[in-house]
Amino acid sequence: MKKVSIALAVVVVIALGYSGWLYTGHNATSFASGSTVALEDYKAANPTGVPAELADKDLVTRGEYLSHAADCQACHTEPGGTPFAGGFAFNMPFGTIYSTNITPDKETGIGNYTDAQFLNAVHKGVRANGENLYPAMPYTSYTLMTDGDALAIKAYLFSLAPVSSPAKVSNLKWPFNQRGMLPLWNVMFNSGERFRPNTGQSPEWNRGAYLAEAMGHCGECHTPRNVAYAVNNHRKFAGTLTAGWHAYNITGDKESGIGDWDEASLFSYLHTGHAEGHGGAAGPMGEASDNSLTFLTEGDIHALVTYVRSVPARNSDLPEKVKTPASASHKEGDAVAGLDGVRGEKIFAGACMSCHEWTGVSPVTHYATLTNVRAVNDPSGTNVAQTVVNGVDRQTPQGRIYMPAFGEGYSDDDIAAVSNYVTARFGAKGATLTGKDVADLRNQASQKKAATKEAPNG
Amino acid sequence: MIHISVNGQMQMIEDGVDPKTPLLWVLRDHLNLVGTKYGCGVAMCGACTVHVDGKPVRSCQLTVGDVGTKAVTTIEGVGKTPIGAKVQAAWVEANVPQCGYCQAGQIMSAAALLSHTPNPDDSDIDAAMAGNICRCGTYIRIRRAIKNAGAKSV
Amino acid sequence: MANSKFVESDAYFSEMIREIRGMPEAASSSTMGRRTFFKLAGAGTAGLVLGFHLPAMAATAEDAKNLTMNAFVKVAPDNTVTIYSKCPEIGQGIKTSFGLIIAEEMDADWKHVTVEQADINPKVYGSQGAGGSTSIPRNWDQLRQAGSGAKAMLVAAAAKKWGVNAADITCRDSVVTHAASGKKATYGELAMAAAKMPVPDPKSLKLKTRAEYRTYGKRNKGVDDDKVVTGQPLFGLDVQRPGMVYAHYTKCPAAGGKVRSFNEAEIKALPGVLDAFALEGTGVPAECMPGVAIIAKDTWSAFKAKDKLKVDWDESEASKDSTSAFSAQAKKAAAGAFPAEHDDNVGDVEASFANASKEGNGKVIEAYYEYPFAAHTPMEPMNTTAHYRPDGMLEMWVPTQQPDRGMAMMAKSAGLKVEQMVLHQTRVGGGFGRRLGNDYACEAAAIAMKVKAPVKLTWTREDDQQHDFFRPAGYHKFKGAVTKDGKLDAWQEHFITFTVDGKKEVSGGNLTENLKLSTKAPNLRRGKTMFPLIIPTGPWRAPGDNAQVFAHQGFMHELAVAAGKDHVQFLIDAVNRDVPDLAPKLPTINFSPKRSSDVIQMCADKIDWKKPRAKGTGVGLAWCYSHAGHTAQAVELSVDENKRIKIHRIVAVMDVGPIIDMSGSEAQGQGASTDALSTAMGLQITIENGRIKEQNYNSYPTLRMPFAPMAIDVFFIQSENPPTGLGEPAFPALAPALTNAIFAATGDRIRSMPLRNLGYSLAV
Ligand code: FES
Ligand code: FES
Repeated sequence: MKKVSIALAVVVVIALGYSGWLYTGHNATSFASGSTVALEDYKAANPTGVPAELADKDLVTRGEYLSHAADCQACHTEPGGTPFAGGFAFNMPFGTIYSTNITPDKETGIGNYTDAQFLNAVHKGVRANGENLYPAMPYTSYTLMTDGDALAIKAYLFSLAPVSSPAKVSNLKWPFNQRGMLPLWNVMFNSGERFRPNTGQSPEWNRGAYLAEAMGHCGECHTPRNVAYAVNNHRKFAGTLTAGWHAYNITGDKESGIGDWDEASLFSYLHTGHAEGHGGAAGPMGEASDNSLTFLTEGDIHALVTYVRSVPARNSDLPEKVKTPASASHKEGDAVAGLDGVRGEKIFAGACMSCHEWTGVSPVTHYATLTNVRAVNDPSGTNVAQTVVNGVDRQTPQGRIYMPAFGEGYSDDDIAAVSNYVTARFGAKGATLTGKDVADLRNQASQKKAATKEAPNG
Repeated sequence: MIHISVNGQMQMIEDGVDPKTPLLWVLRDHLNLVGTKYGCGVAMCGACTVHVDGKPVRSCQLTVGDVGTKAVTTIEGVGKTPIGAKVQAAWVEANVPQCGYCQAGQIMSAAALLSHTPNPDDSDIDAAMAGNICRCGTYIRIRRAIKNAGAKSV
Repeated sequence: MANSKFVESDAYFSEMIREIRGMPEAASSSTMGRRTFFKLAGAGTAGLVLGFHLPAMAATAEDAKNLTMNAFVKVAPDNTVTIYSKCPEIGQGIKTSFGLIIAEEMDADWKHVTVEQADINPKVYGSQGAGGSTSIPRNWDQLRQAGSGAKAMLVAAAAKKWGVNAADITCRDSVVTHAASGKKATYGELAMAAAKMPVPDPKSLKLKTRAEYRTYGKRNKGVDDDKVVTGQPLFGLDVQRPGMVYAHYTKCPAAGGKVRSFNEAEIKALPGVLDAFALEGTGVPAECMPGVAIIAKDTWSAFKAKDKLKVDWDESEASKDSTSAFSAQAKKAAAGAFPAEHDDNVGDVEASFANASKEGNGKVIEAYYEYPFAAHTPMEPMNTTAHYRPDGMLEMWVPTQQPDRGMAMMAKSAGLKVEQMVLHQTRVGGGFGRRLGNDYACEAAAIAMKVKAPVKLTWTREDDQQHDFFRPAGYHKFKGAVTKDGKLDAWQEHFITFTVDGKKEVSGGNLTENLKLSTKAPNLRRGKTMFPLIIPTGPWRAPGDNAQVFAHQGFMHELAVAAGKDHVQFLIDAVNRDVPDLAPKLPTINFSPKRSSDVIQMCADKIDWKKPRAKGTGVGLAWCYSHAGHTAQAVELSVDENKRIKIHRIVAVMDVGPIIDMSGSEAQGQGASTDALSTAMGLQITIENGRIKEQNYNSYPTLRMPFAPMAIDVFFIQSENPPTGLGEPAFPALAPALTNAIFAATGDRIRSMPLRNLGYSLAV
């Protein structure tokens, strides 16, 4: 009886979500003026495929580039595990699901997939055995991808060594464990259409749109979702909480978005995962940067910048960032009131000050400067706390970016205290995290780092 | 070729040293200034503290290429400044060192503190010294030595 | 399945613990009789140079020629006295104390004394280790004789010169005086003549009595403080040699893994890299385990290259240990039956339990305690410089606590004979027991054989934390009985620990003799369960005691509470209980109920034990007999509703005999207390699939300045006993004093460490 009524409620929720979604949210690029045409009717340039530099490379090389663009590896690799062998955990409010093995292993991977079966998975979220995938696999984005590009990726994946790695059993609460409901969801939320270029926009914009929507699936993290867990494009790129991290507003809003970033900063951020004066990528964005964006050509990054900057500004109640350094004296400046403020200060003094300084301007590397960084100016303190817990460990073409992870050595209370302190001292408004909040954030974060990750000096 | 100023002397770093090498290892392995210590390599212990333009900096994090024209002072040179000499004297007076390994870094942090806060209170001392670990547990004497050094005018 | 080489290594450490924890007085007196002095040949212009000669290990004339710098005392014509400190300085202040002992006995003017580190030569110096707080007790007689012997020769020279009776001559502050004639001469003026005097028989020397000491117990500066604060090269890591190259050595993250292959070509092509090779090593954890050496032109190039290193490890025999599994297993074992085999059995515990559980007869309580593995993390990471010289000698500069015994292992790792070793002892940036193992030196020795230049091996902090000889975790299930008049009547302990060979406890994992002597219950029974372990363990500041005392003194407090007795009185009553079966078997063991009671009582007085305290504030006390020292510690603290602990005051009262240097001794008491607090609050090593999780200070939160207690008062009862060491005795009782105080403040009984796992933290 109870189950039936919950199922009914779910149907109602999905229906509600659907109507809202139909209204404005279903088309990722509908914000742009101009009309769209089928790809084959678009003559200005080819917005799909690999950039010109790679056009004459073999299929596998092209597929490798595209697999980076689509960022397959980040989700299909367990921390410390073999790339593409799956096992990465998605901790969602309604349970945990694991990514699958997409190496060409015949038993546990996709070694037996035909082209048609592969396309079905990428475009429709349907496995070779007919089972529906959960939309943690971003097939509602990938559905925009051309057949040629998807099959190039397949060729690349099939060039890899097969790894035997059986799927881990997902653990979802009822009714979400009912895969049978997914076709209904798909009918409503998966357009099933390939990318349609916009003749009113530049070729560069169209390339950017293809990269952002069909490949990089930016909106999967940066666009809020509706009640039915489908991306809600009328708040396109306005930022939301994904896997315990805040994926920030990347619309042109001056206060809460990236309206105040210049072209060069955006380019640098997307190209390297860091922009001087704005801070660097950490957490899931750090992974997207290291596994995907840093592999793209400069031309493709420029295209992405053009496209992202065209998305309408949306305000998302994040305050304007503080652009001036804090005082050099620990005694001056905004602090958290009460005893825990003092505690936050002392922890900062011991564990953080060496790199971040009392001013927030790092004396050792601009990667560690806190001034004008969005996470620090987010009064929720979410990403500050996550960064303190998980640290940063990124391999970039410019070298390794490293901050130790404090999650094992410091208590939730202490991480809350120092996060509150950091946001108050260097940001717009102090966070008010409690130890319990930090515990929740830890649980939401997708997956812990491998146990014995070494620091850069050792 | 990289040039850096260390303890008032211009030093040429031999060719082939990667500008991304942390200052710590250039001091220790190339300039024979081994007073600056390696403890953790991740800015967690403070053993490698030097002054860069008078500010305490973890030399395990600052690359030699980023030093530029700034003046580096190490434990070997800090005694030539009145404050450095005073801190060293206070350290001996209070018999601070046990194993002594952390003390170069402790002294550099303390000297930097006293240069901008001549009479530090406990909160100033915490703020300046919390980044320096002493595994032997000499904290009581470090605090006392800093206060003694502060009480004596330069 | 035990790996025999792991067994060998563990046995080495176990034996070392036994030795260092052992019987200080026996160690020195047994060899005393056989020792005679010798003057060093070739010391002609240097003045008087005096060493010892042990017939049992007769130094040859050839040795003596090379030993100019290896003596104990050198008196130069310029009146400077140089004293050679034979044991490693690891932060325990031994260089200062050894200098003071010799100078006191020879009446040298401390202002004109310099103390130098002696090189390693057991033929001249005997044992040269530093561990177990034994340096002073072991060498007390020998050092005093060195001072006294030198003085006797100076006096003899003066007597001859002045034609007076030696018995009428007195010495003070490096001046020899003949009161009757008013003649005076400085030691320097007499040095050349003294060198020609016959060496005295040590047995003929009259050592000073307590009343004659003039310098002991004063506050001195450390003899190397000036050098330390100015950054002079003193430490192992500071060694620089002409043409030196730099090495890093990568071992399997799971202990026991072997190298199958590595990306050699790629590594050799990296910038700054000079060479890279795999070593099989001896396969013994205390020596050289398999790994990959990278040789580079500087440390950073070696570290960078190591980041790119990919090793295919054969982990078939490697550790799969898991600390969470151990905890679960131990809890299960503790809940099961008491082991059928008993390690100790005195009286009749069952009868006592049966009696005490009867209404109105007393009380029976049970409790389960546990503590984690811990790493040493001295601030100076492991390192060694080694040079296989063209003349076939391997010259090494090692920051070690155990140079003399390490030398053979280094030679073995290099494939050389001990005669081919020249070992220089450097200052040591913290030991805490870690450097009783010389694995890093053995690795350097093996590497040096393949490198045609001096080579400095440096471990990273991460290497240091994962390739340690850890303090083993331990689990104690107690059952105890008190009588209706509040006396301890029965003590039953099921100790759960680890084993490498399936027979003995791992090193550091046996219940210490100290605790067996000092836990006095008329009915007592102990049994143990051992889990197999591969991760190597070893001595860690106050081995065994450092954590076992926490469990014992915590449960002792529980018993006092159950008995409704004042804790201090309960402890004093218990330690004074006459249980003949538990009395020390060897006359050399200095455990004393009287000295124990005295430190307990004085500690209670100093912390103002009986003073009524506000709610939320409490005082706790614990004591131990450890490393031949008697110590009681008390903590006064308050705890807020967020479990934040404000330490108001710590008191340590110790009886380790006479104090040589008060400043250094106090520093040991304060430092050990701080270390113990740091460890109890926050430190643990977690092992998963044989790998160590905590790799650096971000996950191994060593106490920092803002949280460190600033009021630690250390008192010494300077009893009429020979001196014992104190690097360790001030560690073990602090943790139970802390948790007993928390109980007093809050009623919360803490039975596991670290306390941060229970939500406790230190207040700012
Ligand atoms: S070595 Fe630089 S802070 Fe530890
Ligand atoms: S004196 Fe040894 S670490 Fe500070």
